[in-house]
Amino acid sequence: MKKNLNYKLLVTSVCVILALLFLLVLTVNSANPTITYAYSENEEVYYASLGNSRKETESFTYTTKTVDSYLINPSFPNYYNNNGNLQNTCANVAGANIIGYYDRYYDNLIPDTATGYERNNKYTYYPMKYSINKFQNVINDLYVKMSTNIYDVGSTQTQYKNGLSAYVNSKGLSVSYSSVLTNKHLDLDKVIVQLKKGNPISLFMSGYNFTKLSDNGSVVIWDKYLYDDNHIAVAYGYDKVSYFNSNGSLIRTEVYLKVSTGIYGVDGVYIVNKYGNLNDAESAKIF
Amino acid sequence: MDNKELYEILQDYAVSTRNDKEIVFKKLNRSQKRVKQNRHKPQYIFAGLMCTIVLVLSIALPIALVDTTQNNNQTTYCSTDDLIFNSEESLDILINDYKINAKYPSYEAVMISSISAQNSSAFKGALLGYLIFDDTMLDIDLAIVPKTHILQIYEDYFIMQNTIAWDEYEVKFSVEKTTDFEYKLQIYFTDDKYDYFVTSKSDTEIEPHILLNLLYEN
Repeated sequence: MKKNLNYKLLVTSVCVILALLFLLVLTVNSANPTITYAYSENEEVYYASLGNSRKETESFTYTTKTVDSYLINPSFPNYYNNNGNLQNTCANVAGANIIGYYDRYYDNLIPDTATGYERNNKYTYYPMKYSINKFQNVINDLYVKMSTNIYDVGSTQTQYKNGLSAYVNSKGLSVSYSSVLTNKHLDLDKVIVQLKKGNPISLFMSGYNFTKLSDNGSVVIWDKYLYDDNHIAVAYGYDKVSYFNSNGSLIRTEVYLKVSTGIYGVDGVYIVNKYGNLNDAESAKIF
Repeated sequence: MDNKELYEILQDYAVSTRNDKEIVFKKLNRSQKRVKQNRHKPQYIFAGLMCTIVLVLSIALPIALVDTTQNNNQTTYCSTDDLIFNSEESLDILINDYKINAKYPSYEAVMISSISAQNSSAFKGALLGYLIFDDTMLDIDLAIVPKTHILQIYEDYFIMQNTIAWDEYEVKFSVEKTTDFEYKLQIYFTDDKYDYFVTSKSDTEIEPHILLNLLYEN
């Protein structure tokens, strides 16, 4: 009988411990949701930005700074999907932004409309609303040519490039791609070479930041919007900023990429190596 | 009382019952066992209560932790990924089909879009686009959002510090020089049914009341 009682106590104790473990696991899972990225069967990433972000603010002080920067143009197309029937369109929108940029040089890329205007030696790209149907048609066309959502949710890098090439070829032009990564890390020297050639760069990201930057001359504030999905954005310029303290010692060096985010209402810079993974970055040259 | 005294009392008791000693003492042993078993009952009740409390907490706590930002009695929050933009043919569709009876600018829009949300089928907002060309281009967006919903992309508009009075409204605004070539003006005002979010991009800085007068042709 005594053995029987001990057995019951043991079972009760085990139940209590299991319940406590259950509580612990549920609480931890709620506080820190697991980040998962969509991969296809052959491990190629599918880019299908959802655009859901959380905000983090970071600041630091400095005394002096040096800036090395370049923009292929002060403005750049920043289209977004305006067709409620299409979803997971970040690859299509990124491709349309590159086509919109090159339409300045090859105006048959987007027929029957200009993508910008020149005044006082400055070229300004029109926003999406200027010719919303024609710009949306490019996104719609790329949605088909990139086989978006056919095999999985979104588009792979291969589908993106094949679809963009198909579109450009259909206009009697060609496109070439060149990676600006070295040993799986962004190579700023390669980035600079491509930007100075006038070639925008597609960023293939799993987790990323788009950051609003403010700098009053001594304090830098980053309002970082952090995303946990897979996204393609287009970089068209960079700032490499070195910050120094009052002793003249280097505190930190940051690389900011100017990007067309492809998400309505979202702009800012992509701060390199601050959040997520940059899977690849490739320049696109249309000729 | 020592053991000897107790033994004698028990023997007397056994004799007085006129039953066999074995039977008498068996009854005593049985009642002792009952006492032993009863002594464990409070432990089982306590353990059971603990299990119940732990199980209830394990369900209630995560729900309470997860839903603090989502559940609001008054408004529904729509993150950027919830939003769907769709081109519409005319303002009439927004007014008649979607029943968005808001304060629309008199300036003609070049872009008319509806905004809907995947997480809230009841939500219908409007996004109107205006382009005004002078020496340069003035690029204006006006989003009209029912007060029952808060859109993530316009969260920052609520906390803008600068205010002016315009028409019958208190208008909040902020100006930011985004690049060497671009000023971004953000404006927020509200009536009893809708929030209005204006965003403009221009080469030169523009005052909020001038922009609103331009749109509404006051």
